[in-house]
Amino acid sequence: MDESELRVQLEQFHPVSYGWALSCCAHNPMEAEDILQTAYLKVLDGRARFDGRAAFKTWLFAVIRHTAADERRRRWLHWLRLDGYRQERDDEVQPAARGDALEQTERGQLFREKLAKLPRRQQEVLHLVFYQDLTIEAAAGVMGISVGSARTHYERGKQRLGEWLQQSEDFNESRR
Amino acid sequence: MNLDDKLRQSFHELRAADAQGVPLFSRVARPRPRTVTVPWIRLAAGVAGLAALLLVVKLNRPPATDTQQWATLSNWSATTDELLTGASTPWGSSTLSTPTDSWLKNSNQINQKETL
Repeated sequence: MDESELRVQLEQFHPVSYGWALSCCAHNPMEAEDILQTAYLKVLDGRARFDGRAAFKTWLFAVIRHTAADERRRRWLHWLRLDGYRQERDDEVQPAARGDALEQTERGQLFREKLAKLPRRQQEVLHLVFYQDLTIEAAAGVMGISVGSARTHYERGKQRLGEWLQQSEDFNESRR
Repeated sequence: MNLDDKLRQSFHELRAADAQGVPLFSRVARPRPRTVTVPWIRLAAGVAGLAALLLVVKLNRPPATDTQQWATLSNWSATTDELLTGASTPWGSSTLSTPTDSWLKNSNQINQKETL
């Protein structure tokens, strides 16, 4: 696949890739854009090569996930170098600058918060299945884990989110 | 509505919200300008590493030897060495070993006989 073909594919999946990048970095838009840019450059300059063993979307999501993990490690090292304090202050400012329509709704914000409290693997598999409409098998491919393991994370995450949804529904009904 | 449908609906709401903030592809796919910076920590680590290397090399280096001095020392012999090689005593001809108590006792008996 040459560079122009890669660009076409990347552009086609750009909106969903951004959603996945957001999920990989705790919904920080600036960080998500940075991750996406690094991942795209990896793809375009050949540091990450598509060998056709999986679907392009699955492979691209795996590249984005690896890039996000590298970025987390890099930021952790920055934090160790006493840059953490300054970085944390920057991060504190960013959520207020977000203009998501859904975040303005109480339910959407609560759902995001509950999702963020799940272990990372559970968050990832639920995002890939329900947000990106991937199968559990494809999600396992993106995450680099076995299908059985992905299924376990999926069931546990779904159960915990389901409990929360049930509680919030009961709470809303009792308020009426 | 079952749990799967509820979750799918919630996630699709998130997706619709996220879609409003998607940055332009042309902006994201553009290579960022490279800035060549050397963080102070790398510089400091490099200097510390170099200093440690020099210290290790200096500590492991063998001390300088004066070959002429060693040669002089190996040829040295005491001026009394001849006394040891040609000497003989009443209790034996060899004086190359240290006298023992039995030799000293014999020596006393000989002295007593001489005085008698």
